[in-house]
Amino acid sequence: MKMDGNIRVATDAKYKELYNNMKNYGTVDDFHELFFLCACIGYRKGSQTSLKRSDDRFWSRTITPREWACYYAMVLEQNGFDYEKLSKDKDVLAIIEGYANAGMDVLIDDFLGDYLLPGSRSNNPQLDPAFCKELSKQFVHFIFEQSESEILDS
Amino acid sequence: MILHKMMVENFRQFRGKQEIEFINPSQDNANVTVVFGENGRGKTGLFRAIMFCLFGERRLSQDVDVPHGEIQIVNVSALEANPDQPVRTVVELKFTHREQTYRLRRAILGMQDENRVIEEEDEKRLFVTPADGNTQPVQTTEIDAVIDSILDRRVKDYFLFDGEKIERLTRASIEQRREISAGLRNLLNVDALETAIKAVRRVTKSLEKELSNSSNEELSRLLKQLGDNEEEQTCSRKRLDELADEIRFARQEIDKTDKALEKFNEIRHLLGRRKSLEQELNDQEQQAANALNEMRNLVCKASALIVAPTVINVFEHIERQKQKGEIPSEIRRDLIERILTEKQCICGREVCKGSDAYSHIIDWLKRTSDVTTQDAALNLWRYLSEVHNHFNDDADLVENRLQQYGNIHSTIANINRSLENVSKQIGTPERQDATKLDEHRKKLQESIIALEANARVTQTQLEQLQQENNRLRALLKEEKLKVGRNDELSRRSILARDTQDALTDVYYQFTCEIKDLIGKSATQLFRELLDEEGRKNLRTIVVNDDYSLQVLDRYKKPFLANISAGQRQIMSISFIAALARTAARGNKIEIPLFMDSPFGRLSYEHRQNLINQVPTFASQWILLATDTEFRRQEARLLKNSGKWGKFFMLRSTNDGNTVIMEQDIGSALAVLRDKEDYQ
Repeated sequence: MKMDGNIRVATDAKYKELYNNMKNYGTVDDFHELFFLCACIGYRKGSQTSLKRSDDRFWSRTITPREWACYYAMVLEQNGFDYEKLSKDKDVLAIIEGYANAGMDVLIDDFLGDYLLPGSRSNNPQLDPAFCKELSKQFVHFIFEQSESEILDS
Repeated sequence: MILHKMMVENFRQFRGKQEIEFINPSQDNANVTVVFGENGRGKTGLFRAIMFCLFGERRLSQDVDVPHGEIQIVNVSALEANPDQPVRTVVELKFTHREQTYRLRRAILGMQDENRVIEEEDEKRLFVTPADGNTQPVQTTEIDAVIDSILDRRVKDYFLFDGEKIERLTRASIEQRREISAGLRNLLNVDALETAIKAVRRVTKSLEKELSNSSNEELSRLLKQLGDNEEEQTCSRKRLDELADEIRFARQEIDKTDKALEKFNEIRHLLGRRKSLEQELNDQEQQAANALNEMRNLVCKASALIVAPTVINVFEHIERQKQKGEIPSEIRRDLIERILTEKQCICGREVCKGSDAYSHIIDWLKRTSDVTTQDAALNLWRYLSEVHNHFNDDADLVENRLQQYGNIHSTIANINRSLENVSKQIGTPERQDATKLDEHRKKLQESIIALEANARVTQTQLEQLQQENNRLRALLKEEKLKVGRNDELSRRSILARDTQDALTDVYYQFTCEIKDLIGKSATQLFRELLDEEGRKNLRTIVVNDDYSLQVLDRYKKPFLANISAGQRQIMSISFIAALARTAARGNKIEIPLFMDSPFGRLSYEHRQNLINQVPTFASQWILLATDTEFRRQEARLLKNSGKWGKFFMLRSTNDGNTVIMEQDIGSALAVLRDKEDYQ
């Protein structure tokens, strides 16, 4: 649990363009933020999927302490508070990558689907610039709605 | 520098010889001269005359898009009255600077030649009178150097505040960044450094190309990537410049269309209403854009809320472990393990497996954990406590920002509805011409929105390229060391790249210093000029790394998206005044400050502050005002400040020329109108 900054964090290769698009259109500042959101969604939905084609996306040094704390909390809760599971940050992030991968699928199904270029959804999802004017706001609104439903559920 | 007197002869609208004698702050307590006139009477022409006399320049920075040859100095009526003879245009200026009096005279000859006017320089003379009264002429070849030593020509435009410049700076756009970057660059005065950087860049490029041809594969690849990256950066910068030009042209085209539409007098009030609605729309859209921009800062906060139940659950679990004494453990695990291994207590008593004592010790063991785990748990508890404590604030913040954006959005929808109504009223069939112009105008506005979006994307790409460039440079340096080539070419290449980096660092440091200096000065002026409400909330003006302006609130958080149009205008005025103050190299602006129609959208309190404060930080204030913004209320304020010394009116004559008429201040109140007259 050292918040190790020298790990390459991966996503599925098919999400490469989408990560770039989300950053370029100013929806997120950096990749780690989108990854964090996907991990949170995946975890709350209880779904974890393995990466079909793993592709290094960013360095773990960009992950903030707040994000690390949430990742540790997820892994700890998932494993019955076994602190041993937190001993290697690489293993922690490997678990989180699975959640983030599943979370991205949920994000596309529930929100981003309407903003994608026609036909790009299944293999290489990409944002359609024509619909991105207010994406930042809609994005935050979507996340906030998710969090509200989670708070209500809990 | 204090201006005393200016004589113009056949200069633009001013036919024949006319004079203005400015108030002399060294003799009177007052330092404000008001020149009052409707638009098109020649208020800016007076500033132009001064710049012409000082530097021989016929163009101001605002004329950047006017084709060469279209700005004519010689009075048109005088040319028409003397069709076959040259007309002499003269401007003479008397001013003092550091106890010396200067009399500068510049003249040109103009002549009508079929459809064009030829203007040629005729005379340039400068006389200097030191304190001993012994007047000396200055050699013609030295005049420019003498004037430049008094006022550097590249910062001359900072002393003219025109409405357009103020307006341009209120918009967080590519034009704003360009204006600010140019302003700072002029202040830096590092031409030699810029030339050196360009030269070293060329040398580096050529050496690295040569090196690439004779190096290993990896080094060649990196050099090529770096070269491509730099090419792409150049292209992106060029594209940004082109976009800025296109946006500026589109705005000018809108202004031209508006002028054409003004012909339709019966719908003039509707055009006015539309303009003010569009202005409002512009402000709201700007606020919406800023709010959208700030939205991305909320992504991380909002995402953490999704896992709030988990964070709370884990936090409470560790908290319970702490309360039970399991973390940090009261009993040392290694000690218990030793007792169990040796089967003997520290008191010497034997501990047999299956005994009560043995079971108790096993219970203790379960309650302990090793030191690493304890540290991990405590650290996690600390981090989660931080996250946990912020949940409510974060949720409120996200909700507020969304609500705020929603409000802006509904205001925009309302304005759009009103605009649609006004446009419908303007666009009836009998006004086809106006409707066509109107459609043209609409298209132009849409293209501006598209161009601005394009510019934002290009700017982001440029930033990414810069990050990639830094990464490639680091790799290249490593690779060069690894390869260990020690030939002449390799050494020269490394030296050239290091020199380029060092020079760029020096340039960057200069820029940062000047940005800080301007930011501090602008903040000081901003706080003086703001109304009480604004002062409570707004603290600091900063120049961002991308040369955009930002205002920080009392919590040092960006607040630009939320300030009013009037506060934006005050921010722009403070920024330009800070440039002028820095250009004048002092706390007081020692060069006369010209302000053309500065009151625009300012509230009464802001106008009051401007009228009270500007005469304290400028040695001489020449206020060029129109009838709609300089009314009895403002005149009374200025009169009560005791700083108002002279009042001139620009009146038009039947032949389209302008006459300068001096009036005493007392009679100004009779000439001016009340605010209510315009409602």
